[in-house]
Amino acid sequence: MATSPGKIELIAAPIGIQPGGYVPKAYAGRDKAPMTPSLELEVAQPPGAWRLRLRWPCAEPVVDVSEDPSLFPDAAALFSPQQEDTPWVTMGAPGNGVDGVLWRADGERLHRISAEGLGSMTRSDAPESWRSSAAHERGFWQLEFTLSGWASLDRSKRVAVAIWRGSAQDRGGLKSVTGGFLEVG
Amino acid sequence: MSKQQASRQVAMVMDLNKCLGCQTCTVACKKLWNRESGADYAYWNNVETMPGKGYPGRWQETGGRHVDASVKRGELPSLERDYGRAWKFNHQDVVRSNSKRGDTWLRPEGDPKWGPNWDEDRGAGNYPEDNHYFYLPRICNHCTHPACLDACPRAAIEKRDEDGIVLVDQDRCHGYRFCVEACPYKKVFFDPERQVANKCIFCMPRVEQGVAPACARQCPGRMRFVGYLDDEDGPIHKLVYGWKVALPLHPEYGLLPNVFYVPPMSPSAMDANGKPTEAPRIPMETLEGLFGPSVREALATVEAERAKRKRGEPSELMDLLIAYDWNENFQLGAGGSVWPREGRA
Repeated sequence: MATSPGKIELIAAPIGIQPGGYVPKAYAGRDKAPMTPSLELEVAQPPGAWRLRLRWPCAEPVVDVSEDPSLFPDAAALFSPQQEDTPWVTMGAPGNGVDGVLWRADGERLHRISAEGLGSMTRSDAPESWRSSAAHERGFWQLEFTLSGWASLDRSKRVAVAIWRGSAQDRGGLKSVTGGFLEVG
Repeated sequence: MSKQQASRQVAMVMDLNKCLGCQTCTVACKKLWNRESGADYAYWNNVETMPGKGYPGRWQETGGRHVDASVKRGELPSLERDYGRAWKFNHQDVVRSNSKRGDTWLRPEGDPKWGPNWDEDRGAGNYPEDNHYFYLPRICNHCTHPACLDACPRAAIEKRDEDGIVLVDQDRCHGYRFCVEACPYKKVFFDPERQVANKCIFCMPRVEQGVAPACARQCPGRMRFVGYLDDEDGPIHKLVYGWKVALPLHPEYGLLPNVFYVPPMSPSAMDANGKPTEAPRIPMETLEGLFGPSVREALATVEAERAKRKRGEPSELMDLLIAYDWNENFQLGAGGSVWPREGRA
């Protein structure tokens, strides 16, 4: 089964709810428009796995951040709810979290991520079987994940996407996201 | 969330009248804590010439706080423009040069635009009327209200309850660098290799043993004092609260820094005929811009006490600042009343 590529409008993650006293004030108003306005998502379910293809516009890819401390890499994450009522905009809540996968354009290893609310994200090495491949062509990132054994997605069949645009100094809560969990199965 | 208010606060006073600009503190710190390649550009302690752009360059313009202490979006310094790459020199070219003496000069490779101590001894003013400069050593201020702690969405920065030292938990840090942006002193650094923030730890393992930070211990000018703010018998309390001659840097940011400075005295400016005037060589506006309006009173106190001493009268303040016994600069013992006398080595 596969879904055909669909263009999905993204929104800027809300700034006012970001943790700490700095980001909500220093970046007030930055959430009026997303840095990445849309993406295309194609989902397939080969036996025992999920294959998710993402494509989004990025005119100035940032892939090397190893020297300059002012650079941020392009990045993307998928996350899935652990329960039916898991809140999306806060990346879950205590005892009702999300988990997923984080890809960075700088070639850092694929991370498994989990969170139970804003500011609580933890990262660990993704399972060996999880794969990603990415290419930047003609102003677009194309990223494909092949993920097996992702229990939350197997169960919920819902996924949300976050995109960080490095050239805009996106990081943390400064990101473009889907407007909720998307039905993918 | 991390607790912001500490039960006790360790602090440092630097007497700018005694700073030689020798960078021994800088080297002591660098050698002890920042030798990895990702920290090439990170100087937890630096000494810059004022007036000047400092390090990172333009740090006083990079924001994080408005002058009314409200939050302002800060700027991330860039490696090329504001920090400068660690220089490599053409040693081999010089050694191998067969040309005439002086044809191949030792010089940095590439075209460096900035670096630590780039504008050393430039200062401001016109010779001989009012040319002036002084040295400003800087470390993290371990603020009572740390902007870095407030900025971290991951609560990866902690202010320790027992001594108020501000630390980055690098296991929690995800490298977002809001702390770097938000600190108006630009004293949080980012290791692009390890992708985590780092900053001065006030030599916390030494302080826990009652030993002053390396920058203070190694200072040949004996210009640094270390102790607890609430230790009424210690030098910090005397200089900050007693004599009121030690002032925080940029108090208008509202973060309550816990590093304090005895402002620099200066000789008179000259008039066009080379005669001394009433005006100090370092303009009061320059000092007020760094230390706030209290600098006038602080300088008046130091100058009055110095005058007393010149007349042969006793001055507790001058005795304290002269630091006849180096050990008395550092009082870190438990409770503040008992402290280990440090070796003289």
